[in-house]
Amino acid sequence: MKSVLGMLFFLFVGFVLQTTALPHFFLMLAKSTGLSFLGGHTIHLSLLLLLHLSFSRDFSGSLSWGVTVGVMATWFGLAWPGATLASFFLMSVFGFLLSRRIVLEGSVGGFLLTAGLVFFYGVFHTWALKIFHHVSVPLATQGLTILIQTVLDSLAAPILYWMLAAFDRRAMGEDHRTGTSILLPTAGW
Amino acid sequence: MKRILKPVGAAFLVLYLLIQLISLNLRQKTILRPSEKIIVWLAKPSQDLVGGCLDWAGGIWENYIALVDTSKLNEELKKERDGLRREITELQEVRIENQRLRQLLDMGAHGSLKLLAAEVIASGASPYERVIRVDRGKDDGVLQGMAVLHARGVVGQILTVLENHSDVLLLTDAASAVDVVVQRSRARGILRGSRPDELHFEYLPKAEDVQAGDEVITSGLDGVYPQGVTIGTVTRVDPAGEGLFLSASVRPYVDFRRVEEVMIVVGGKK
Repeated sequence: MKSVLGMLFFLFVGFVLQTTALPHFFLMLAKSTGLSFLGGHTIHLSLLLLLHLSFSRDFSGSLSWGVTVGVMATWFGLAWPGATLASFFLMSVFGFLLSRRIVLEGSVGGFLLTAGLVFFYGVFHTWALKIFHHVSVPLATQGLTILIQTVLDSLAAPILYWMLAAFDRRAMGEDHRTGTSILLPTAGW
Repeated sequence: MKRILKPVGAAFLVLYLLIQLISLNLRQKTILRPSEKIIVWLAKPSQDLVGGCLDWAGGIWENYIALVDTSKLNEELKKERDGLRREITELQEVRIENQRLRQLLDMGAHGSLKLLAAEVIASGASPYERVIRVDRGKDDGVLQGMAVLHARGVVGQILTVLENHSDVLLLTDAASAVDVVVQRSRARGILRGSRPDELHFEYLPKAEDVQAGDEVITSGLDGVYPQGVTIGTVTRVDPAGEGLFLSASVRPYVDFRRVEEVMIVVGGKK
């Protein structure tokens, strides 16, 4: 319970930061360094939190967190809610499956796996706009945004995962694969 | 005899010295006598020593003990300077904000629109969607679909409304569209969000006259945005286009990443 409440708190703080402080930070960074392409970006903390949860929870836990993050996102302003909810849900499934198939070795492993998933999230999210909202967006127009977002999120991921893993250890002990679902705990996949 | 001469000699010596000392003060001299030179010669090192000690003591007093107040004063002055600097920065910010608001008010006055000023408080939850959150909502009379403007042009439209805040779908979002006319040739088309700082023309027939540098304004025919509000300039025209239509891009005047205040059109002429 402590873990669930803690993660909900982290998600709330993550959403607040990614919609307020971080866009400001990147805007200032773009202005001061001349790297104008950074302006308007943020770190997608909610997605990174969901990825951590899908890597470290059982299957039902991953799915329920996928839905929870998607619903929370709608509280913070979404233009394409269907596409976002579907993308978060898909990430929770993929994150769980990949974490069972790929051995994550240190921060480089975390970086690479996150880069792949964030990139896939961006592509799927753009494509899902057509499915859920009947608006066709050429991928080329979103390509640079997806690429920059992938790099920023992947760079931030290792330290965030480390912090969240430290929280999990404190809240639940070493075995935090089970019993962490916000639905009924299951025996795993 | 010797007993008598010793005190007399001593008395004469004392008398001589007294006379000499008295005579020193009775006249202005430029040349020192040998006896005076000896005294001066003997006095100099002691004077230097005492003077040095006094200087040292004075230095300690002035530089350390007496400076306690000075450093306090210094701190106060530093604080005052920092305060003034902060005040200057705040005043500059107020001046810039004032200019922006003045521009917004001018726009409202010219367009006979009923505008509601709002402040941008956050961006949207997804980095791939172009949404901003403003501090006006249902309590202020904001409704879904209302146009949102900036001094430089169109910002977008109200997407969702809550009690005290609303989400605005920016013009550059892929799900956003606006009916426009090219000011010079009156060519009409639909602009759709494309890249973060670019809009793309849709349904603009190839026969229409559109050139790079043309200004694009709202037509008012979509029922959302008021007529004649500036949007941006045409940056690229591809005559080959897509099928029956021209392919053209428009760079909006509004820098959507830096928008801080907007005006919501809550009434008036559309």
